[in-house]
Amino acid sequence: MMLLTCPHCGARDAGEFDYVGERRDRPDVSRATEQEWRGYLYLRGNRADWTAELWHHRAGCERFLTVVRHLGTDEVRG
Amino acid sequence: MAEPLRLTDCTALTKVLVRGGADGALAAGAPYGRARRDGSLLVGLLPDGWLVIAPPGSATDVVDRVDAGRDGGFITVVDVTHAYTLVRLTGAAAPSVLEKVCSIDVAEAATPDGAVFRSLLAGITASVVRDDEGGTRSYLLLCDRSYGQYLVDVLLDAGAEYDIGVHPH
Repeated sequence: MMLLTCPHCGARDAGEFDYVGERRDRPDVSRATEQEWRGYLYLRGNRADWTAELWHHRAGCERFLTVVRHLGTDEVRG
Repeated sequence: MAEPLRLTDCTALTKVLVRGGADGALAAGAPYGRARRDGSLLVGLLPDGWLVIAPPGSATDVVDRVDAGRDGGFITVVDVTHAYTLVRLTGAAAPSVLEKVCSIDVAEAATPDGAVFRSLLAGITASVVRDDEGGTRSYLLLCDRSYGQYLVDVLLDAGAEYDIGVHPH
């Protein structure tokens, strides 16, 4: 069982959460090139390394939270 | 003798959901994860959401009271009486039944009287309010109406070994 620590609810079973995706900064629409915008919309790193992700605590406080997870081992930081 | 386990249908109780105003009077009365009795039961259901549980047929009074008590900020007040199923699980064995259907620690130290949590109960999203009755362990369980029959069936199945009984409201 994987536990994620919600800032509102504490440690909870990962089954209570929805995975949203890798956390990325949204480029400035007025300045971004088409390649940058395409990368933001469609490209994912998916490295077997530590990755900041956005999760949604659907069956809890209904808040979004950032989870730093190792995609190779499922280990979670913090 | 330990209090026998019983399941009571409380769906008819008025349920009013209040969203917004996380810095207001409701938050001071019942912060997220806590419930407080003040005539009605004020439940801190979400970081910015409260549920008021009151006697049947009192939705208009509750809405008026919440509206009158707000401190200027925008809030949403909705009568959700018919949107949720509400059952009460009472008895000394109630924690043992909950332990069979959810992964939250319901021991006294972690979930004392007045504690509220929202989690998966037998796979469905449900809210649990510990609301002891005369010193006997008691929990109010709230879920979407469409899952109500399923939740009751699961609780009866989990409580069978404790001789659970069904009581009308």
